[in-house]
Amino acid sequence: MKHEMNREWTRIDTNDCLWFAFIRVHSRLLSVVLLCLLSQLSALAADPVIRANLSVATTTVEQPVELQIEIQNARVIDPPDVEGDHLEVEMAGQSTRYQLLNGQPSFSSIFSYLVTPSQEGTFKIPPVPISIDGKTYYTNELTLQVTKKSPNNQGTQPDKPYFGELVIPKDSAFVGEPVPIELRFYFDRRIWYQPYPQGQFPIIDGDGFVTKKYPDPVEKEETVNGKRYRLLIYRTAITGVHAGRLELPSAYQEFLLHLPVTQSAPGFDDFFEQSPFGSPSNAFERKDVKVETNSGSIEIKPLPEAGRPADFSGGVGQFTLETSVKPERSKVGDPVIFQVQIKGLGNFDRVQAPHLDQMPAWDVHPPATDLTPLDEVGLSAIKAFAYVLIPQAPVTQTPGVTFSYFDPAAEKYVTLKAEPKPVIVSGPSILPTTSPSPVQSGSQPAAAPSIANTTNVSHFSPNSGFATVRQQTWFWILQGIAVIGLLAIGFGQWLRSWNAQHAAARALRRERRRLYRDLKSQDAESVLCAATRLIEVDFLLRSPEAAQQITAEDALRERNIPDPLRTRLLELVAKRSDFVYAHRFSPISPMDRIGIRETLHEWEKTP
Amino acid sequence: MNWLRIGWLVSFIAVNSSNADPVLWNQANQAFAAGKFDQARADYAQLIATGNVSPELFYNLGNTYLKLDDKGRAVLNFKRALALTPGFEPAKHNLNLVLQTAGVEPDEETLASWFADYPDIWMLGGSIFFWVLAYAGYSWFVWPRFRPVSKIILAVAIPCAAVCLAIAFWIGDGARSPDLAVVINPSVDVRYGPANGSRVTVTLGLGESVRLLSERGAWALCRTASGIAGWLPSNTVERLVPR
Repeated sequence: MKHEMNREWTRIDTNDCLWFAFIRVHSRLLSVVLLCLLSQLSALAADPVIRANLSVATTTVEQPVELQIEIQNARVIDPPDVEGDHLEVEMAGQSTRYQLLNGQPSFSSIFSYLVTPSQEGTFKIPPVPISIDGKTYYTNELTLQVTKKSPNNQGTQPDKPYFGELVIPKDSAFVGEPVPIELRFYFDRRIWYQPYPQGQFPIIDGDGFVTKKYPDPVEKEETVNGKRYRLLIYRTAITGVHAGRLELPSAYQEFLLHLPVTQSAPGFDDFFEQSPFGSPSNAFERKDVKVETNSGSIEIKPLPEAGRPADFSGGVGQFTLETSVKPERSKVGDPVIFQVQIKGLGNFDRVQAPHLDQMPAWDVHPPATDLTPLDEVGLSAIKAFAYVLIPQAPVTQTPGVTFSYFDPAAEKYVTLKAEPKPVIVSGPSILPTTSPSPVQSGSQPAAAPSIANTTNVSHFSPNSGFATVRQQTWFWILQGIAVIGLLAIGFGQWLRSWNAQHAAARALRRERRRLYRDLKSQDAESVLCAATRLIEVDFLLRSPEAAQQITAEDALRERNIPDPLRTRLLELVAKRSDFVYAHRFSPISPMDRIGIRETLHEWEKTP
Repeated sequence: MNWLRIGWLVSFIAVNSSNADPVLWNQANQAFAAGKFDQARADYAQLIATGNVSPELFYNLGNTYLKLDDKGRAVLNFKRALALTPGFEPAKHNLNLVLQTAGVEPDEETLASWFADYPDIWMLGGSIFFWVLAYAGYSWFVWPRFRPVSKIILAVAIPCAAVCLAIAFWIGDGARSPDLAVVINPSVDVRYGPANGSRVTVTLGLGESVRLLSERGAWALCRTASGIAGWLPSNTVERLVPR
């Protein structure tokens, strides 16, 4: 049993070691994975954001459009159920997207559907319920306008390798009503094409209408008269600006084409007869062509004068109105944001700020506008007007809002009314007060509650200006001082060590100078001692690594010098020994002195 | 004691030499109080031209622009005041108020923006810690007897110098960068090329900051806070650091 336990322990230890080794080897990978998981968790922890949009807001009967439902910051597995009257909805796909935007993680589930209308009219796709963590969220309501199939001119086009087509789905519209149109450019599928210059959009010359910005064109394939064509579709909308028959001239677009040519028949007309795989040559002809569409016309009807509301600002379409206020509790003088949203399908560029009911308790500032297109052309959109309301007195509700527009389907004016939103504003009223209280000092918050009450400050605190320290001379002088200080300390340290290294040699040189002076002495013993010591000193200066204690005899033995010189020097050393140890005094003549000097010079000069 | 006296004298001279012309300052304030906003604006601008700037000066000029209903330049001058003194509450308050009335979300306070508000602290701190590190490292090699002290100093100075210098090089001149500019129009389209027909990459709102990269005629190449580069008309933005 004990043995079993030990084996178990051993196994656990081995596993631990393996885990430890694995963690050590893959620590970087694990940290990345952990980071991803954490950021994903933080993305999922945020409130879900749900958006629904249609690829286009208008289509023709049996022409499908794409519906996309995007759910941000939540993981939804089951596709939401989408339904709509006279609309056939088919699930087209599902995808997930994970991205980091400015360091903020974002996780999205995207569901795509194909919506095919079965008849003409304006249809609403109601808010789709989506259940996330027990809570039910709803998408925004969408509107799809379906027109009858256009009497297009596909059949009129002969077997051309490329041609253009203008599709206008309606025969008539009202002034200001946006009419979606399509500019279709067909190319035989063996032609490589590119708008020229790149990024150029089709041009429709003419008067009496305005067009919207082009989104990026859509590419697809279609069969016309039994031939397959690649199709480049530009979608936009035109809006008639005055009543009458609106004649739309041909739209045109330049393309750069690569046309296949054959050796036998390089002409352009018969290349269609060649099979794409049977061509004897892979040569291509480059060609810059201007492709034109057919022209068209539409009747523009005037907006009726009868029943036009006073606050009508030019909005034509179908709209809804919603309001919200934030924060719902505030104090007198603290601004609140009152947001009015107009959603729907229509000419949003002409939709002006809705009318707010007059309330003296609110100081209303002009709204900021934000337009969020819900399709690529911008016919279906949400236009938000954010009013800044500054309460001047305690108040319990926001102003009411009215918005009027013309509904072209019903052919009448409609006025939408949003009831006031409840809000709680507390604090003393500032309505009768007209003189502002001045700001006391720069360190205290401004007393002015609104722009109207803003006052200036009277004191002036000097400031070095916008220059940062990097642009200041004193900063770089200080850096220079720091560098010089460091270099000075280093130099001092080096000097001390150099001095320590060369102190012995310096002392020897000093001694040599003194000994030469002693050679001039009248005292014979001093002369002989100095001469002997000079031999030792010279040897030590030549060999700094030699031991400091060396005798003149050893020095003479160590050095390779001519024998006569060695003999003379040894005699000199012996004479000095006799003088010092045997007290045998023999006088030194001036000639001897000269001889000693010359001998020593010769010794020093010997390499 | 003598050093203290000299220091006091130097700071006194420095403060008094950078003081604005009190006559012009009072004159501008009086013009504002009297409702002569055009004259007040001219006087404040003259003060700025003399090079003696202060957060109060830009705050007052911002208020003057507000009275003249030029929200763009009001925002610009409030931001200038905040660039000089990030904690200047009156400017912060009025800036938020103007942005709210214009329907623009005030800039979110992030760690990066906080770093950028104090560019000098990081550079000075980085340089001080760097030299402490250099001297302590030197003493480590040269004077072994001081090693225990050097070790403690190095342990503190190395991370501090690294953090301060990294932040200093990351933010550069921060909120006082000469390349920074502020959108003074209610909205401006940033385009792919310097032409009105060019495609729009992003639309900026009043008071948004951009970094100007280069200028060509009436167009300026800029990089937005979200990192998108594009061209916008030069007259729709004004540099934060007055020239």
